[in-house]
Amino acid sequence: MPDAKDDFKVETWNSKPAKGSAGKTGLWRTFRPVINHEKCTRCEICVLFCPEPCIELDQEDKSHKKGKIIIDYDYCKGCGICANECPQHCIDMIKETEFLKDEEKEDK
Amino acid sequence: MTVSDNRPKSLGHDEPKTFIISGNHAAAYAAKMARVEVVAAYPITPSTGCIEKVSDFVDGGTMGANYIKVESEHSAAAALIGASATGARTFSSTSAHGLLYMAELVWWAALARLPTVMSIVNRELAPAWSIWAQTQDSMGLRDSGCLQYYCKNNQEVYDSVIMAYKISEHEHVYMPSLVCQDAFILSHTNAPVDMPAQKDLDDFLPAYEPKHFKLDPKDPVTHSSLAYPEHYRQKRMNIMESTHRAKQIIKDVCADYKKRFGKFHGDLLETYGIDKKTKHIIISHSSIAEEIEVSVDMLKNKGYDVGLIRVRVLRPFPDEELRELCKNIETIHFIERAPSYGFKGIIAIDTMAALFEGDARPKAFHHIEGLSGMDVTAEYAADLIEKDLETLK
Repeated sequence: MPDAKDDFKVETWNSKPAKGSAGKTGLWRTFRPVINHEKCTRCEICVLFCPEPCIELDQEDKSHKKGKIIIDYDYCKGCGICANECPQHCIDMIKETEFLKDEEKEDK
Repeated sequence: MTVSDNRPKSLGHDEPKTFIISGNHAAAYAAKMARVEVVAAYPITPSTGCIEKVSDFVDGGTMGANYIKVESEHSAAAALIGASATGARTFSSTSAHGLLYMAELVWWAALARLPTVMSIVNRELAPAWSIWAQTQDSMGLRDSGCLQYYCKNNQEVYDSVIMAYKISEHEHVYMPSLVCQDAFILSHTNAPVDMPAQKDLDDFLPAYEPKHFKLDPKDPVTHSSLAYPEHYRQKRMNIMESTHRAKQIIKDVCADYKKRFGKFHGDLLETYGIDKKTKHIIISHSSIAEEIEVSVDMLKNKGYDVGLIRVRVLRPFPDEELRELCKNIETIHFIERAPSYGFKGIIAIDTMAALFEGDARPKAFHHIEGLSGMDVTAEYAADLIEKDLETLK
């Protein structure tokens, strides 16, 4: 049998869940979900339905007694499931190009 | 309760026994005595006899494996992959188009480092439809990483399946094995097969305990998911290293098996009638090689200085061993069942590549014989070699 001191190890393709292991998937987005925080009741349905999952309730935020819903745009792919499920209809899907125009304006 | 009490049962082997059985049944007995935990298979001639026998054992209560009935060979291999990934010892058997249908998953099992063992009955591929012997079906998978054994008789089939588990499950290997036998010539021909007592075999082949990874709900991982190009080279070279290391492990396991049970069929290759001065070497494989042993005797009686090398393991390929044996030879004669269309016989290609790294440049003669199970008799093979040698005069 091979030398017992030998440190050769068979390597396999195993991965454990980690944030962003596939890179910043937010770049794939065509539509950006934007929350109307005044209408939002913090029901967390969007948190539950987000398949990524990149929506969280930030309980530290003092703007509301329950906190504030935060979308991590680094990883949100813009699928729109949150907007579809929101009982208050307070998430709008806005074309990313709209934001580009804003950025261009700022550049000028 | 000891560990062995948890293993699937294999009843009826308290003492060493000799059975007169077919190659298919030899593989089935080996799977049973290896205490295989999961079997998934789909019947195809000529390998059906093997899984029929396994199914008999399981149904009769003498074999404790889980037998999964599936709708195709593709599913059979997929079931083995899933089971093997949870740390189960797995077995299947197939042939020709069945093997090609599961080819995608044979590669998957290899690249996922799952040490499943399959009994392959080598059969000619269609068209035209044929059910007789030819080794292209499994040899076509030689680049997949699977370890491949080509057996010459039923005893070797039995012993090779047992040894294949020990080799495949070695912590430096973790690759699947294909244990191959010729259709009908072995698969449906009864011959004596000696089997050791179960307790001695259990000492030789303990339960499979994967050290590289195991699917376990208590420690969840995603296995074989998406990866980026920068990871591939290291992982693939790890397979290269493992399959190279398997050569020494095969030699060690074969030597250990010989010491324990007195059975030895060569390790990577087997030689017959060769000494350091042999000038003419025949290279063959599978059951043809056993027949050519007789041809060697016939040729020696006529005064020809010939010997035989049977390539028993196609992957990992015995390149250094062939270079050493062929150092001083003048001619090399390939008699094989598997052509690579557009070039030469598959074993010839690999052998010539191996020799190119040494100094020997023997004159080569290529014979593709025995296609679709055509008999290659001792007289016929001797005649081929004699005609080759006459051209030198």
